[in-house]
Amino acid sequence: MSSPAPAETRRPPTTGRTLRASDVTHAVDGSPRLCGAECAACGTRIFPAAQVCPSCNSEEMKPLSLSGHGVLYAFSTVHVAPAAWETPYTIGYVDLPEGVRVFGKVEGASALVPDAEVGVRIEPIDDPKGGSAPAFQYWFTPRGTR
Amino acid sequence: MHANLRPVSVIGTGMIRFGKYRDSTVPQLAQPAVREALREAGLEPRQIEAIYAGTATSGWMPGQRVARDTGMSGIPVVNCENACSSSATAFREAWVAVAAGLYEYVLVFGVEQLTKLGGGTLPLDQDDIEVTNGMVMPALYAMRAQRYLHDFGASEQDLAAVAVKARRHGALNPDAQFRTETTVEEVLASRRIADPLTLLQCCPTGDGAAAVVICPTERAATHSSRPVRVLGSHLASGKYVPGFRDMTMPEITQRCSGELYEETGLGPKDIDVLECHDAFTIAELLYYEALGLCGRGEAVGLLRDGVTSIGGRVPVNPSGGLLSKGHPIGASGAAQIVEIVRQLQGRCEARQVDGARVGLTHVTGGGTSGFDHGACSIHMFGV
Repeated sequence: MSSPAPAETRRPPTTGRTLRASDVTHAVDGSPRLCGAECAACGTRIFPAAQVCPSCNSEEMKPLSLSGHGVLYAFSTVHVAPAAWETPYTIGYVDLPEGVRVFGKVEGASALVPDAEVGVRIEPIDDPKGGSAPAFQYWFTPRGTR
Repeated sequence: MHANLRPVSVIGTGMIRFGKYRDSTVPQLAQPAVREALREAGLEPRQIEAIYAGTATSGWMPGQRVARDTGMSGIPVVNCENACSSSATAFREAWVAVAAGLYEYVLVFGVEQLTKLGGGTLPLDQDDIEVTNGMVMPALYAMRAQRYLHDFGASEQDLAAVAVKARRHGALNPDAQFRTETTVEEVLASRRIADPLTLLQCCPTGDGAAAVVICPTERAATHSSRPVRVLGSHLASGKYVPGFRDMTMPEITQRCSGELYEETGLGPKDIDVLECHDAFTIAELLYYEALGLCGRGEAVGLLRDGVTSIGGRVPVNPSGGLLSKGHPIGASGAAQIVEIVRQLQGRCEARQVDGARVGLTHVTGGGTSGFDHGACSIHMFGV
């Protein structure tokens, strides 16, 4: 195994890629929601959004606001990862009511099992690239915890 | 078999023992395997008409670099990158060319030097949203394992039993990276990699090379006393599935093997021995089911009953597989073919599968969001 990078350069995964402003929308109550896309031609729903439908190649992709909760399909706590990432961390797939499966970091995994209800927490962060558009990251959390 | 393609046979095989060769170069790893395959086929380098090379991380023109150092420069060289399916893909393309009548004698080799990457998990595509959010290959398989255990009531001991079988077979293979046996307890007590997978449930970092020579079957008898026929060759790519996907049924393997069975008129019941892509313990169990050796949820029973051990009805990974023989990515497809050809030739000594007449090789490859895997290549051989 490779030797770990110096502590100051190690960081949790996900801080490298933030959600773009277009990946996030807001519910009526103002809370942030993941924003995917739905194909107007064939109905395929995806996250993250894309300009072209991966199922039918149509360009009629409309924004789709995704629920803030879902069902945890599977997850794993990772102990060995690229040197820049701080371990352990937990990642998993969550199935949202819209029929979209989203991959991301999982918090509070010790309290979770497959098929558990989880929430999607989205938080604004400082854009590491220093851009002016707002940046976000997201986690899955045991339902009810914020 | 396609009506307008001519039958093709393997007439030469070669490989180096998989392991850690930090002081070698990629051409130095490949040369002994290539020379052994040519020697077995009774061919001079100048008789080879084309080279198909499979590797994932060896830089530019690996095939030419090997051809340069082995007296074969100048002929057409095709370099194939298809992740873990790289040299199986190279073999398929070589088979297409010979079957179509383009060439008579073609060399295929696979090579990889993973030690130069420094060990640990493989570097994946940094533009992929899952990768940038923390995905590593062991975690992908770990989630399949967690879901399989959840859906079918299997245990972590069942997963560990796959590694125990792999090491038991590998101990009989002089070309295997690991040649020591292990126990369920030792497997489960080894370092945690991605829960529920522990270190001994993951294929090791290693280097290696393997090579084969093929020709039209009508010419094979003049080069080999025991040529092995290519009964079928199939290549599939990941199919994008929007929404929910059953991670306990690797769709790409099921589809690729189904198409191969249809093409050859042979099915899982006809297979006497096979090498499958056991990069992690869970993978072997999933592939028993995806390849049709048993029904959904029955893989643990098949393993437990010894059906897939040497001496059982359909031994799987008699070489030790990726878990014990090792998994230098681009070399694995060719090494599986070397093993199955030698099994069908009755040359495998302590690990020989008695009376094997039909064998199968299966590799997948590539962690990319939206797919089970990026690539899958399956071949069937017979004597």
